[in-house]
Amino acid sequence: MVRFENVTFEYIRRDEEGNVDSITTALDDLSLHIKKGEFVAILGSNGSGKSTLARHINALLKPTEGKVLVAGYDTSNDKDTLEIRQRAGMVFQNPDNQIIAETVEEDVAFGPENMGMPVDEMQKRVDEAMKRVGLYKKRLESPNRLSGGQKQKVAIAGILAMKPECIIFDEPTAMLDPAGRRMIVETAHELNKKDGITIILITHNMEETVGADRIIVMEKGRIALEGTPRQVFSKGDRLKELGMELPAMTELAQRVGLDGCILTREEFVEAYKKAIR
Amino acid sequence: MSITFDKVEHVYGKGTSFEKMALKNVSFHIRDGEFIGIIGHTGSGKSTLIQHMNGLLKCTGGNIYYDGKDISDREYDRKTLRQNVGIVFQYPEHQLFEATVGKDVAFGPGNLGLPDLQADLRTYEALKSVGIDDSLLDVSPFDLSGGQKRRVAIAGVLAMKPKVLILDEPAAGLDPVGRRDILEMIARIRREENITVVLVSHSMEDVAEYVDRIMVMNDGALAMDGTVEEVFARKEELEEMGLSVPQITLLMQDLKDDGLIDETGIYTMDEAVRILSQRLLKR
Ligand SMILES: Nc1ncnc2c1ncn2[C@@H]1O[C@H](COP(=O)(O)OP(=O)(O)O)[C@@H](O)[C@H]1O
Ligand SMILES: Nc1ncnc2c1ncn2[C@@H]1O[C@H](COP(=O)(O)OP(=O)(O)O)[C@@H](O)[C@H]1O
Ligand SMILES: [Mg+2]
Ligand SMILES: [Mg+2]
Repeated sequence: MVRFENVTFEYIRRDEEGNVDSITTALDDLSLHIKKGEFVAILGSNGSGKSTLARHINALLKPTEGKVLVAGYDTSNDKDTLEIRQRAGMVFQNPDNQIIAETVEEDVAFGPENMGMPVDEMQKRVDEAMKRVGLYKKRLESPNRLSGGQKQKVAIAGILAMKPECIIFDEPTAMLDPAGRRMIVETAHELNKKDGITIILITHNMEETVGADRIIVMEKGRIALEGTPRQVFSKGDRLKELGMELPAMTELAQRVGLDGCILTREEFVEAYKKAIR
Repeated sequence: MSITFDKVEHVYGKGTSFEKMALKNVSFHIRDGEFIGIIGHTGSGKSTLIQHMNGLLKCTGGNIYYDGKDISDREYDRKTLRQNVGIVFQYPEHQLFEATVGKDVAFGPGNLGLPDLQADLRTYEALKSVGIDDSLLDVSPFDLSGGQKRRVAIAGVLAMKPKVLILDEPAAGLDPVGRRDILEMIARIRREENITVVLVSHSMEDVAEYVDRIMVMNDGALAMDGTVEEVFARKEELEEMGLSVPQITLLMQDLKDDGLIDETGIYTMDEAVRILSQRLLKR
């Protein structure tokens, strides 16, 4: 679905005269393959290159060197940009900045409308998308009246109406309350399981990654650590070096000396029962 | 400084079709030196509430007192109030604007009309307090990392030497190490300066670990106000409000429900480690 081949990306800053002022290498010879239907979580300290990576997937940024392929399209070919954006949608951190219209329905219709889709088809897709995230009843309300989590769902519905193959979430829960967080992570999993949509979830919250198929930890524009959640979270020392932490259950289990790499509450209770027997 | 809210109400856009009652009948008293956490769903009124604490917003009903004096009185010195009560807004780094770190932090003290030497001294102290090295004084804030920018922004507020420090989600968007560093820093500043701190947060874990008392906002009303123990004992109500209790608390409850431990009301990792290790050692 998504393939990075030796991708390097440099942000080049210029002074008033147009001379190069500074260069930041945000992706450094990075290669990555994400399969169709996979749920990949991306961790990494601030500035490690996560957003830069994400922006390459829907062609908001193009590699300085190397190649990015999305559903077979090379993101460097400008003529394919619309095809790519239709297939790979992005949800950002701040729910308020993503709202553009007066009603939920208009907001969700924004993308398909710009694609120049027939009105009937568009309305059908918009209705389906709103139902999919549970906002159909609120379709005539102002998005500004919704909770943070619901606003993020409006953004998700807008992408769903484009019938995407892949959704990239760039810290979608950073500004949400606990219910909003849960709502968004559950929605991401549901879209992955039921609709087969490839999910890429960037987050600083370890708990949100334990259900992923694979975790990637970034450092200085490179992939520093990669594997299933259990593989990654059994490397506590390395994670700490990378500025990360362990999920609460994993840390507690280690500190009280329970065996194995425990990720969830259920696993903790089981392991504890075994240990005191 | 002690803060008293008496039946405070705030209506946005009164008389328009956007009219919104963002604070309803909010009453509380914060003693000098307390460490308060405020939690609540998005839109519950947290940001509106804290903007009343330094007079940025005026209440449309009720009264607010600092050290027993009504801040809406005509004689009340609201300029001094704004110096005494420092607010670090959400994503404060977006408001950095000066050419250098030093100038940005010195901006507030400069506006107080302090002599340059004294303003500089405050700038140094504030930057030291947030752990930003002197060598960065002449660097552009835009060349700093996300965590560093946030520290510089906090230093700008500290340089005013506030007696009450209010922070709206100071750790939002930071990586785990950055988050811990910022919270530890706030706890240390509070100890050293002996000031009142109000921390707005969406992390139940952070609130459980750092504050003494939690205020819970729900739809503009103050729904709960109590110690960490008192508030997190009301799990069902919190969940109905879009909130939750710490992960550790949920686990300890599961263990208790299965008859594996007797303790209730465990809210932090350290407490859980203490209790469970004892049990595991005994076997
Ligand atoms: N628009 C930009 N101009 C210049 N440098 C940038 C820009 N955006 C990001 N960077 C730099 O690129 C690096 C990677 O940033 P980013 O991809 O945003 O990381 P993350 O999302 O992991 O925090 C950082 O060093 C950051 O400062
Ligand atoms: N400037 C404003 N004008 C109109 N309504 C506002 C304004 N600021 C906030 N509100 C509304 O007031 C309520 C409380 O908002 P806020 O204090 O920002 O909540 P929180 O910080 O808990 O998310 C929300 O319904 C919000 O939409
Ligand atoms: Mg980012
Ligand atoms: Mg707020």
